[in-house]
Amino acid sequence: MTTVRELHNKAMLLAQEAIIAKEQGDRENSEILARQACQLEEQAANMVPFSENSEPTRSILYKSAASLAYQSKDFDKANRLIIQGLSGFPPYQIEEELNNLFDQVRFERNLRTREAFIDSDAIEITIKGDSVGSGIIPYSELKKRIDGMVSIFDKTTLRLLQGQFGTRLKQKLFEPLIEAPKAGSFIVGMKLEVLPNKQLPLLFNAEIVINEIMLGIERVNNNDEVSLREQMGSNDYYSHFVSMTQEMAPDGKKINLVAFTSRNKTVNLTRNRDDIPIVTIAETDKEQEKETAIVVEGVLDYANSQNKKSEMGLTTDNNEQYTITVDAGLEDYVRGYYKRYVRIYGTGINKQIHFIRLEELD
Amino acid sequence: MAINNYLKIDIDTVGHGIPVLVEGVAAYYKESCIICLDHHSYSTGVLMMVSYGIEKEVQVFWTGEATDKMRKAYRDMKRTTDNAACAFALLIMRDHGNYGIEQASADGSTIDYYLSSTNDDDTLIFNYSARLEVSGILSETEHNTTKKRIQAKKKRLKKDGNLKDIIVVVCFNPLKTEVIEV
Repeated sequence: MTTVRELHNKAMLLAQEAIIAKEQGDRENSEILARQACQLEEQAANMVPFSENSEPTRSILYKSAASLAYQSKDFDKANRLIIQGLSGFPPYQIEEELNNLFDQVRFERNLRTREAFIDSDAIEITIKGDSVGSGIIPYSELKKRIDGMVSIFDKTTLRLLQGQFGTRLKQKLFEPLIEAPKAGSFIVGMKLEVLPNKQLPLLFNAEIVINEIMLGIERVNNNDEVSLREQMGSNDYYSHFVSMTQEMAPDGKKINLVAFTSRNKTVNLTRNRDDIPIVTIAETDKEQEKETAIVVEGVLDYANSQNKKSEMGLTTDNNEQYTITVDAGLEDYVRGYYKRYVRIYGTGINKQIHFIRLEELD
Repeated sequence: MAINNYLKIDIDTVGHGIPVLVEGVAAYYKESCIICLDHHSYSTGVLMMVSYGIEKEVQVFWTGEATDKMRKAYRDMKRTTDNAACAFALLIMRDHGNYGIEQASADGSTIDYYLSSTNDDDTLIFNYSARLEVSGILSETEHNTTKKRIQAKKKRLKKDGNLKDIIVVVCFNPLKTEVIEV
């Protein structure tokens, strides 16, 4: 007769194959392997007697099986397995992990049910974390995500209509609308409404803009730089999209999950903002490497975009003033920190800094 | 000729003697190690300070080097650091610990490892185990040190119930590993 150990070991081999498939970008195969692993792990868990002496083995096996069901997107099964694990005598840590997994599963299921109710010209941003209550959120956490999305709406529309980054459309086509926040975690709807008396170009509509944004966010989350660069077409559009997505991403402290739902799909932005590099190795060109690395802290206090590249001022605690040159694609991102106390990383000489990245300081 | 008595960690052997680790994941772990070591320009034979009850210097060996293709594939440095840390933890436990790596369980998109000195029970497979809690730091900073990481982990793993934890924090700059049992 097959033992718990044998079933579990077979399940774990498949689980690791699922991780490898996911790393290689083969999500479909990854889900199939996770489903197969889940079946074996569930069989193993079911063979362990329901008794206090069976812990922690019993609850670890159910948690492992539930996690595999979650990976294979079988949320109903994941729920059942979590409940079985909790129904025994799990030690504190495993109980806590089962409860966290339960929250994640419930969250995913809710998002998927919402897709059917969203208009094709709308997008919903769901924000979850310790600082978010049911239908209530700190202003700053909401503002940075709405500002980020409005900026992405504008630039995506411009890019799809083949406008060069930094230019403007002759006439504004859409007005972003905000729908009343819905209770849940914190869900805010945004809609792209065509302005009155405006004629959209042929074969162009808000749904195309929304789908394009969802694809981009998904690629940022999957760390798929190559496809994202191809999608964005230019460095400026690429930098802008990544920096604004980084602004909307969870920080892992106050906010631990941000999800975007459109009529067609849900994208969970699970990468923490610190894990989304704005300036990648590819962009740090040789010229910059030759210059001195500079790190400076202070308040961003003026902006000037008369030149092709934007300039911002930074004043330190000692009243020293620095000029920060910002690439076009990162302008909106850096402006979001106007009058805030930040640490700037860059390269340069004397008090002229070519911006690479920033951190907001408390 | 000087003879050194350093203990050794051979990254190339990460797939050996750990039955719960499949070949593909072992290769992935090894490459993650190479990326993190290369990030700080270390060469094979570099010394790592390992604190596991007592402090000892351990010599780290590997073959192969980071290529541009690898750097591109492993660009997510946080994940790469965590995977490299996991490889070091498994190697240290296998070669220098009192436990064998007995079991694994799925946890989202990662694997949890469980250690055990003896476990012949084919049903209650986790009952005599300690969980391996691994964390990686690419470069230590004032706010992100191995000590602080261990404190944070200890705080999270409130001691309640019968699950024992072994915390391993691997730091790549300076190169050191701290192991504690809670």
